[in-house]
Amino acid sequence: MKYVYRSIVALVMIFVISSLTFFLVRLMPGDPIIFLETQLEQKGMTAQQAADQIQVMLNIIPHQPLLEQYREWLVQLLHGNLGQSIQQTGVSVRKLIFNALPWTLITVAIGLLGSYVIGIVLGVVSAYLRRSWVSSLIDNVGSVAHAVPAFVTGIALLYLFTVVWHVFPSGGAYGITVTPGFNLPFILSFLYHMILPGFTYVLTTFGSVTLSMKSSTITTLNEDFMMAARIRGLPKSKLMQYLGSNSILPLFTGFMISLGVLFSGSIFIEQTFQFPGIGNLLATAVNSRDYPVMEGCFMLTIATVIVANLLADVLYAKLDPRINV
Amino acid sequence: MNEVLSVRGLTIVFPMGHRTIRAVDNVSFSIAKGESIALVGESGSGKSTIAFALFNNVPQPGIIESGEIRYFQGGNFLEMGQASQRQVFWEKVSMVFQAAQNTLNPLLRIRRQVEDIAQAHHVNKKVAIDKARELLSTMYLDPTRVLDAYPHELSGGMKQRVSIALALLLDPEIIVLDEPTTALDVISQASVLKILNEIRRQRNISLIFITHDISVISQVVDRVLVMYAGSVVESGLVQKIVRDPSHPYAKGLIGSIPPLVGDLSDVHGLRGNPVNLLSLSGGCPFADRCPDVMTRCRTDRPLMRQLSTGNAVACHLYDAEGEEVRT
Ligand SMILES: Nc1ncnc2c1ncn2[C@@H]1O[C@H](COP(=O)(O)OP(=O)(O)OP(=O)(O)O)[C@@H](O)[C@H]1O
Ligand SMILES: [Mg+2]
Repeated sequence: MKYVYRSIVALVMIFVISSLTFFLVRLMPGDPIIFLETQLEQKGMTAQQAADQIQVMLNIIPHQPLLEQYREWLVQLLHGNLGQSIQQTGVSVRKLIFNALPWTLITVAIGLLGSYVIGIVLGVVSAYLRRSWVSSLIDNVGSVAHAVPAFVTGIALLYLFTVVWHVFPSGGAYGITVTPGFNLPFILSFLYHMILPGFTYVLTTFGSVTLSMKSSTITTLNEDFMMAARIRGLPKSKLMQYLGSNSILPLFTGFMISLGVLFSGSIFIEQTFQFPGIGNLLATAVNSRDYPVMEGCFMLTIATVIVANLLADVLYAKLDPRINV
Repeated sequence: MNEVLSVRGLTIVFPMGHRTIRAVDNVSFSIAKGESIALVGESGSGKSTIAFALFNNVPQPGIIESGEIRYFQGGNFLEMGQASQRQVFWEKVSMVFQAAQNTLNPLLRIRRQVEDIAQAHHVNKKVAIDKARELLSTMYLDPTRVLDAYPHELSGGMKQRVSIALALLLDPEIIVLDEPTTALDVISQASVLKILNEIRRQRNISLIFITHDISVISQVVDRVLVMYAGSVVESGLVQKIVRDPSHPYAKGLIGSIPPLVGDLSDVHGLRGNPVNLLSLSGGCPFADRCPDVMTRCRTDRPLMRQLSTGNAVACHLYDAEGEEVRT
């Protein structure tokens, strides 16, 4: 019951914030619609043709009251129609997003997984060796990796591995000789192309994971129940289980939230590596004032963040008996 | 006398920056099979630290500087390997923790935690659960409800009783009980102590009570050690200590407990503040607060002397009496 309520709230939130993207575009200075209309007419269209074209692209009927426009836009949205690209005439926004999404999803998933695995291992090691130099080394490396912005890390890797050493390709998601699909040459080529962007995700995320995991492990190690478990004679493996479950738990929410947030973080990384994912799609749309594509990307990001938050809450309550949603 | 535990010259320090706190200072005692003793002293006197040392598990950054702990007249426990130590843990010696509120894993039901203990000691899980049921009901708890609960679903008093039940789970020969009844109301206190005493009689096990309030446990212990600032200042049979304490600190400690019946004006508190372990010098640790302080007390550490009353006391007031006890 509680979950139903939470889901409804999440849906309403997605709806409200998506609507905001509609009004935002409409309210931008130098009315984008008029601008677009003029542009189309300059290309030789009649006023009627231009208006029809705009309706196809943006799901609105120009020169109607704002609320009328909004209604039309909503009806189309509910039918799953996100409009058409302005720059790539005739291509639907939905298609653009579906083409870009797999690249981002797989890379982000692998990058996140990698950074959490590395961060958790390093955090535990640093907590156990907290009085030794190893711990301060790990902490410093983690802090620096966390502090350097993604695009700097990306450019540095790009320079090192494609210019200095020609080890990895400098862009794209797969080589020109392979055909996308479920075949080995393609998969290998994709993995080869995603190593640098994926590694950039890892480098920019593992630092904060390491630091949180360290502090959470130290907190748990000092808990009375860990001392009691030792005195109760539990074996090392059991103690590690108690320690692990209790210290990873606080990281869980952050993990779920970064699932959503990494979609926007990917703008820098994907641009740096010319990786044809959502971030790149959004960046290109922003640069060329492709409003329908922008709206589509925004709505996708908003929906993932909200859904990830909802999932985080629901799953957290399943993992931690103390929490009641 | 069948000695089950002997502690000799136990000294535990906590390095704090450039100073070192001597939380336990040259403490010796022993306990016989079936005997019940109490460590009594005010907060900070080192009672819990001794309890943890019995499991070679003093909290960070504590160090056992010197001393010997022998279980069942065996070798020095502190020098044994982890594997041999683990065989003593819980099967032979168990503990009811002072912080009973937080000694259960918050993510697991009580049932799982009982099973984890059983598994660690190669006891059949089902046998252990049946045993736990029986123990929980003697503690006036609903076994099914408690076993299926997570720790946060139990009240403080319930957790304390669960903690006592867990300590009894593997039929240990010695149980250390650190303030085992603080979270309980007076009625439950009395009944829990009565149950513990019955179990001790039936199974002939030894109990080490740790408390700051001697009146609560005086019915269930045979001997008392009064601790002050990490040292034992007086020890003897419980009736002797309660009726006729010799050490000025013990007098004050026992005098500061309000009687259930009678005039409150008979209650004398202890003068001064609890000892600051950082400021201890060579003399008697109690000198600054002692009503009978003498010059010698500030420079010479008093040694334990066996008095004719049967009590042993470390105080210069009795320098002329009895004879020195070697520790
Ligand atoms: N983890 C620790 N770090 C530093 N010092 C400690 C630590 N634990 C104990 N001590 C020192 O040891 C002294 C004795 O502490 P202990 O917990 O044994 O007292 P206690 O007699 O059990 O007191 P209480 O009745 O309050 O439980 C304290 O005064 C403190 O100075
Ligand atoms: Mg204590």
